[in-house]
This record gives sequence, structure tokens and C-alpha cells, in this order.
Amino acid sequence: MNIKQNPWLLFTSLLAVSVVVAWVLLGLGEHWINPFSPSSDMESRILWELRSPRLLTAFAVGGMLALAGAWFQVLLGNPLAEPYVLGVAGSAAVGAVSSMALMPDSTWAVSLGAFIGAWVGIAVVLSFSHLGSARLLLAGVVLAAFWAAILMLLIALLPERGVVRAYAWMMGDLSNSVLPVWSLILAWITALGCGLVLSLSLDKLLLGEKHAASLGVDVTRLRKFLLLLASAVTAIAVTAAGTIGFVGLVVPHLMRLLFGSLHQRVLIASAFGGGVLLMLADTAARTVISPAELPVGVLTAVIGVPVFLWLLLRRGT
Amino acid sequence: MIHIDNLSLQRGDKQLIASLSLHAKFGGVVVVLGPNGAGKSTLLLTLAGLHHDYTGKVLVQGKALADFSQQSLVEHIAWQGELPPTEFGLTVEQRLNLAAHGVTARLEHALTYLELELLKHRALGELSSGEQQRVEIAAVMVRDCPVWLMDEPAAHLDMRHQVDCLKLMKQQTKNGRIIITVLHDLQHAAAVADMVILLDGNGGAEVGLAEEMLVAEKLEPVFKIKLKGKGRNLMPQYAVELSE
Amino acid sequence: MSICFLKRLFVLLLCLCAVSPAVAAERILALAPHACEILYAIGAGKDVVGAVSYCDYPEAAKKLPRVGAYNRINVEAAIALKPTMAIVLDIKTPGIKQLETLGVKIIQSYPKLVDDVLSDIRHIGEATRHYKQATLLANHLQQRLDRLESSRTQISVFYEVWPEPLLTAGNNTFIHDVLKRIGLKNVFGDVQLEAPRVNIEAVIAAKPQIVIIPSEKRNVHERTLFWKKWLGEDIRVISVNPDLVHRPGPRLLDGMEYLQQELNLEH
Repeated sequence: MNIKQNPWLLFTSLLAVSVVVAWVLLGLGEHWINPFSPSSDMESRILWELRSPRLLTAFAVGGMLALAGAWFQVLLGNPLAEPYVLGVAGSAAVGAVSSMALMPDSTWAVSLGAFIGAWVGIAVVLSFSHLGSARLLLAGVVLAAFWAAILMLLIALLPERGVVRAYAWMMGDLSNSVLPVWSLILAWITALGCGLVLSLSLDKLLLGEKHAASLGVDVTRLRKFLLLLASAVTAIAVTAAGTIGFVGLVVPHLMRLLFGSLHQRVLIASAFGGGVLLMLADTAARTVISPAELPVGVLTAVIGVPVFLWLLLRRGT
Repeated sequence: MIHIDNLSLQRGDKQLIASLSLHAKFGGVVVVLGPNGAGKSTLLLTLAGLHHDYTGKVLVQGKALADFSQQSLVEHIAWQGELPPTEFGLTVEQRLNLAAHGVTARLEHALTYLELELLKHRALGELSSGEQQRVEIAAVMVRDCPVWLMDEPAAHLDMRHQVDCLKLMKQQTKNGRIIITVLHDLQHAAAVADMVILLDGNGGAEVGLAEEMLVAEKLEPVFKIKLKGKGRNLMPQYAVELSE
Repeated sequence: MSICFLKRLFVLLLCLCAVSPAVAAERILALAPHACEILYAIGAGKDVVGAVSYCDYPEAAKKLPRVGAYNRINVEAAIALKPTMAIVLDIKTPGIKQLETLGVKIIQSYPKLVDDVLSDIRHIGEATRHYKQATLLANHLQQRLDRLESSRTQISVFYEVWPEPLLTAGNNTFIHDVLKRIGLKNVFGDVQLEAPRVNIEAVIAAKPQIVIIPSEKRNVHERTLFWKKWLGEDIRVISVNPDLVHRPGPRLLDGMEYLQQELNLEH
């Protein structure tokens, strides 16, 4: 009970859990390496130059996707909302695949393309932001379909190896983030910070726009800012790792079921919960069919969905 | 405290109210009556700062409505309207806390008065509409604002709670609160109203003391029904005579 | 001999010439890049009337009208060229069935192994009536292949299909067989997927002696530095033109010999 009351307690205990989980996962890979005492120089290098950047990237990206999911859910007043619902992932994918077609030699261009694509998508959505939630959602769904169609067109024009690359990117890749780990952790911290500052207003927004305004919230400004914040965080996540699904939808709900609906707790819990989930999923992705790897997007669905359904059934109504 | 001069309300291209004037200084209940679509809810939304398509002068505590920021306006005005959405699992206590800004004493009092203590930790979505309505009334109570705007507060309530609601309104005005409320039931109106705003649905708005307004001559043309009785017993003729 | 008889003989001969298919030229569509190369190599280049994208060798092939890609044929464009025969990679490719119903003879060439390349060259030679040249070419390539195999050395290799994400070639791929025939052991040769994504750790653990990188569309220098970082300074990184080892055509032996040469440089 206490954990729910005190946000600092929640933060530190979740941080501790994350660190423990991360430490254990660090040891997993092609073969077990004891993180406390790697037995060779090569093992040490594998731990710190290969596994830990990947784990930290997974943590930051997972946390950001979960935060963005929670924000889109309250923004659109719809529990089914998630970071890609307004088409930002679709436009990012179009950007990434366009880069693959135009500059096939380079790998960083793909991330730049994803980033630019994401912002194009955001700009388009922002022009609809004055609409009410239901119509904004509708506009977003249609936009997402539009980007998906363009994506299909691009993929049809790519040579065969390009198609493999395109799908590989879209299914998520946490090992080759063009954004350095420290920048992603910083983004995670900033995102959570912004969210916490807004958390009381977000709680009021859960009551609907009229009620929120009647409690003093500047609804128009809040919605615009929230849309921008959530989209920016999604853009960063997608640029770093491709379009990894389910984390943004499932984690905020899971955290609401566990900790209640107030945003202060939901956001802290989602930032850590999404991070831990993605670390687990990525570790499974790189060990389950070793030496081959599965795309992490597959694992987020396979892990996230059953856990969520189980919790939903446990809670009854 | 609330001073309305020549208020003209629009919604889209439709003019709802041509001209309304009201001066409400000290504690009292103002009941807004009128047929559907007459602009009753819109009038409350305007006073709450939630509807901006109007002309005319509205002063709250001497300051023009337009000059208030939303944040400062809500310190003076509490609005109760339709039931909020319940998808996200907020509990009764959490919902009331959002209104109460953390002042727990008022919260406990409201919970007790509206018989909500046992439902404190239940999610809003699990409650019946009557229980949710009581939560909304509690949400207004905990804010301790000088002006309450209540849009059909007795909707969904069973008779006992309807009585409690009306009693509450009367009690609150003893402390100087102004309550402007939309009511559909004439007997409810008769029980609590000090003043009445009668909207006729064609832009007309008449304001007057309750005993002067709640008479058949004024109400029958607006509502287009036959009324019987008078004073507190004024009510529509519900019994239907079937002609052979 | 009466003139009458000679006349009749002459007319008969003319008829035979007109009717005989041996005189009418084939009009061939090369619907895969390797098919294009094979056709030109066996002297059937002049019979080729259309090609698909990536049919870029020899030079003459670049001037051929395009009728689509190897995995999607534009039937209308193809038919406009009045083909009599088409050499395709996969007969299940969209468009092939329609070409067949419209009377075009379909010949499939989908080599999965190095040996298939040689037998396909013979087969195509037969179908296009350039059998002699085809057999010559196939025999010549077979000799080169035999020479290669006699100088075989067993070296473990990691073949980097793509750097990011890290992709390699699995068991049932053409490149896997190519590597095998040069005497190289693909460290991921027991993975049953075609282009599996692999973890760098798995490559490190497999301890390949050589890394081969296709030279197109990547910075080979960067990749060399990368592999030196993880596999040690003395790791050998060889880059090769992918058209010479992925394309199951006559230049395959050029690629294989090149790789063998590079390997032998070490020893």
C-alpha cells in the first residue's frame, strides 16, 4: 500500500528491480558470462561493449514507448490508443525505407530518414490537433493507413535484399541504434520528468475535456503539448530501434491494473515497466533460437499479450 | 456576485438566448427552466467558462468573465454536468481528490453526506448511474466555491437521494452560496428555487422571483402542456384522458 | 532429270525451309539476370529480345527492353516483344502462367547448387539450339571447377550478407554451396533459415578464420575495422563482387577462382 502512496518510494523500488533484472540479463547471451567476474578480456568486452549498450537501449526505448502509449491513451480518451495510432510510426517507416532506396550504401541514413519521416507525420497530425479526440483518432487511423500504403509501394520497388532490410527494420532492432545510449537515457529521464510535471493535469483530463476545464486545466494547450511530447518521444524511439509494437499499448494498462490510474504512478511504473519488458523481450530474441535471432517485435507480442490477458482475467470485471 | 447584463448566447449559427439579465448577489438558488434545446446547459457552460460564443456582460465577483484565466475562474465557480467517462479506472476517492485539491476534510464530509464511504475505493465504472451522479455532486461539494452550476443534479437519483440533493442545495445557500441549476421537474424547482430563469426555446429569456414565475400562465405557453395545482403543487397533468 | 522434277524439288526444298523451325529464329526473354548472362555466353545473345531489371551483364544486355523484375513480370510488355521462349527463375512468379497460356515456351532455371548451374547451361543450350556452344562452355567451367576442388583447403568462414541488422547465409542457400565448393565451411551452415539474423556474440563464438563481405552497398573498410575489433587484428576480411558469387551464371567460376586466389595468398 505504501508503495502506491509515495512516488519516490515507487521510483526507487522500481529502479532497484530494473537494475537487478538488467544485471541478470547481462549475463545471458550466446553463453553465460558472470557479470561480476567475466573470465576473459573478450568476455568483459562482450559484456560492456555488446550486451550492455543493447540492454540500456532496450530499457530507454521500452520506457519511452510505454510513456508515449500512456499519453496517447489519455490524449485520445481511448484505452486502445498506442504510440503508432496516429501514423507516426508509419511515416517514420516510409522515411527509413526511402533512405534504403535512395542511399542504399549507408546505415545511418536510414535512421535519419526515420527521424525526418516521423516529424513529417507529426506535423501532419498537429494540423488536426484542434479536432476533438474522436475525430483526431479517426484522422490518425486514416493517416496511418495512408503511410502504410506508401510503404507497400516503396517495398514493391525495392530489390530483394532491400525488402529483407525493410522488414528487418520495421520489426525492430535494438543492436544498431544510431542514437548513442547516453542520449536515449537522457531522453527517457526528460520524458518521464515532463510527464510527472503534467501528471495532475493528465489525471483531470481523464474526466473528459469539459470536466478537466472545469477543474482549471487549459485543455487546448495541454492537448497540443501532450501530442507534441508523445509524438517526439515516439519519434526518438522509432529512430533508435525501428517500430517495435505492443509495448506502448500493453504496458500502461498493466501498470494501471497494478498501481491504479493516477498518472504519477502510472508514468513512473510505465517508464520502468516498459524498459524491463523490452529488456526481457530483447534478451529472449537474441537467445531463444541462438545462433539466429528473432526480431524483438515478435517477442514483445508473445510476452506482453499473455501477461496482460492473465492480469485482466485475474482482476475479474 | 454574479452580474449578467444583456447576455446573448449562440451555438453555431443558432441563437439560443437573445438577451438575459440577472443579478444574483447573496445566497440563493436560481433554477433554469425551459424545453429541450433552449440553451439551459449552454448557459451554464458559458458561466463556467467552457463556452465562449456569447456577447454581453458577465461579471463574476465584479470581474468580467473573459478576464479570468481558467485556473482562477474555477476558484469561484464549480460546474457539474454529464457523467465523466469511466474507461480508465479512476476510483471514487481519486476522482474526488482531483476536485478537492487534496483537502481531505471536505472530502470525508462529502463522502459521508452522499453515502459514498463504502464506495470510496471502487472504480467509477463499477458504480450505477445513480451512484456516479452522487459522486459528481460530491465533486462540487468538496470544492467550496461560492458559485455552483449544476446541470440536472437529480438525474439518475432515486427519490430518497433526490430529496437529499434538493435539501443540500437549500442548505448550501444559507452560507451565501449561489447555486444556478437546471432542473426538469417542476416540483423540484418549486421546492428549491428562489429565482427562476425561464428560457422559451426561441431566444426569449425571462428572469423573476420563483413565486412570480412558477405559475401556469407563464409556464404553459413555454412548455405547451396543461398544468394543474399551484405553488408547491404545481405540476403537469400527467393523467391521460383517452378519447373514445 | 526433267526441269519439271527439278522445279518440284526446288519448291519442296523451299517449303521445307519455310516450314522448318530450324530456320525461324527464336525470340527469347531473359527473365532473370543469370539467364541473361548464360544466353550471351552461349552465343544466343542475338536471339534475346527482352530482359528484366538487374540484367546488367554483358554490356549489350543493358540495352535490352525491360519487362519487369525477376519476381514480377509485366506480361503486356513481354508479349509486345513477340517472344517464343522465356527463361525464368521461378515458374510460380506472377505473370509466367499467363505467358505460358499465350504460347510462350517457359524454361525454368533455378540453380540451388553449383552443379545445377552447369546442367542448366546445357539445358538452356539445348532448348535454344546452341547446344554445341553450351556444352563447350559447360565443359570448360567444369574443368575450372575441378581444378578448384583439387586445391581445396578447409577454412571456416563467416559470410556477412548485411551488416545492420547482421545477416548471414544459412544452409539451403546458393552461396552456402558456393562456399562449400571452394573448401570453405560456413560457420552458420547448420542454420535452416535462408538469411538468418545473427548475434555478434554468435560470430565471435564460432571463431571463423575468414570473413567474406559482398562489396556492393557498404563501406568495406568500416566493416573490416569492425571485424578486426571483435575477431582479432589478424582476421582476414575478403570482399567480393556479389554478382560473381550470388548469380548462378557463367561468371560464377570467376568469383570462385578469385576467392580461392585470395585464400591462397595467405598460404
